Amino acid sequence: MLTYNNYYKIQLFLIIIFTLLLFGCNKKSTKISNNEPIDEKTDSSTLLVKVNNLVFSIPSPQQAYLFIRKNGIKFNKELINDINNISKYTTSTKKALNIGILGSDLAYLNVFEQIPEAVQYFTSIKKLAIELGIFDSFDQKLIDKIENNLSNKDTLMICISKIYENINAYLKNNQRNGTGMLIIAGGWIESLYILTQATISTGNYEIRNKVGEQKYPLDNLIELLSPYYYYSEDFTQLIDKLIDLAYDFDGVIYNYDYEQPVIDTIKKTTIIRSESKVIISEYHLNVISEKISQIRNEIIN
Amino acid sequence: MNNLKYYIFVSLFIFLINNYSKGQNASFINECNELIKYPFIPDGHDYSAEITQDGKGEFKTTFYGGSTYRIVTCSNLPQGKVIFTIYDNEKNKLFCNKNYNYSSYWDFTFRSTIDCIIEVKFESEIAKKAIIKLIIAFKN
Repeated sequence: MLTYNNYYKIQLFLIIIFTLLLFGCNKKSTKISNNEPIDEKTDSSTLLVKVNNLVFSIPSPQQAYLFIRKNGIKFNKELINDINNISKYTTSTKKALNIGILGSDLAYLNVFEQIPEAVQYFTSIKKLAIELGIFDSFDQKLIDKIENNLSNKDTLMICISKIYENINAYLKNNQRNGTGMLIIAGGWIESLYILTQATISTGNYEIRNKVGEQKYPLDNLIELLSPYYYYSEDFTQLIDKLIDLAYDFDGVIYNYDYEQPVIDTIKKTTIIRSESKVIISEYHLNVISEKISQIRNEIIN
Repeated sequence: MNNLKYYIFVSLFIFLINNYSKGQNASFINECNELIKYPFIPDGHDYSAEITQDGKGEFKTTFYGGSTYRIVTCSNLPQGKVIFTIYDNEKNKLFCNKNYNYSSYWDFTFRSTIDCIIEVKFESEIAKKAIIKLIIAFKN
């Protein structure tokens, strides 16, 4: 029989549980418009994946494009994905990969100050993000800042980075890390594609080395994606293609010599003087270029 | 009636504690972000490590030659001194902030492209689980 005291104890328990549920869960509702939601749990602390307690990451595509510009290579609109393709992206996997590709293109457009096109690409990314159910991660203040600073390349660059960081954090909080991995993969695939095309069309030696230097980001990307290998056929195929590409990168010769860094304690700076040298043959450059074009074409079409 | 007041008080207390800790998390992330100003551009990744007792977090990434990077660390433990150490792939130590008063940020200019491991941990053992956040920003 329920006594008066027990009744209130149960009430107290329910109130506490209700309060915890109400205020403890800070997850926004996520709507997936169609197809399979990519939701899974790998790590509660970071979107980036831990393998043997090591978290892997790859450099921002913006850096590759800044490097291309710094080397005097001209903007080439033919290299980026056509935004009219977005109607073709009907699966969650394609949407996520193409958010990465278009985000990378947006960075390329921004670095070369192609403002009208950058606006169109940003609109397309927003559209895909709504369809993928991740638009909640787009902070309205950040969108306003982008729309008010369309002519300011540097502010836009920071905002683009911030948006992608927010997307990553949002996906982490919503146990959709796999989606975040695909966005990262799409961004890197596009940057390697643009780097290889810029190398082949100009023969620029510096850019060619930058292609060779993608050996380690590729290894890190494979490590990032590998926990999702059996998650779906799309993941398996993508990872297999990247592993195949990594075999070709094994042909890139990479030498490294450690040197003692120089530290300036007043300016809080350190110069890392260690030297790395990359040698990539014509053969390997062409094979890598062909393979990355093929991987990208399968994603964007 | 008294019981009802008590329950409302307990619920409010739980709510306040919960939001206080969330506010603290947001505040430490803001402190971290404050140290990234133009011309540094964040790389767009969310690096966080959940640290338990004397544990550590490790991040592996590639730094491009010819670029300068700013690395910022912060944690949700106001008293916790964060140590961050950078190693190359051969485990040569390139930098450790422990020798520089546990500075929460440092700039690095890389002559060549190098794959590195950044290790983060607390200076002393911690009583409960805590988060160390890292921001990597670049300038060309």
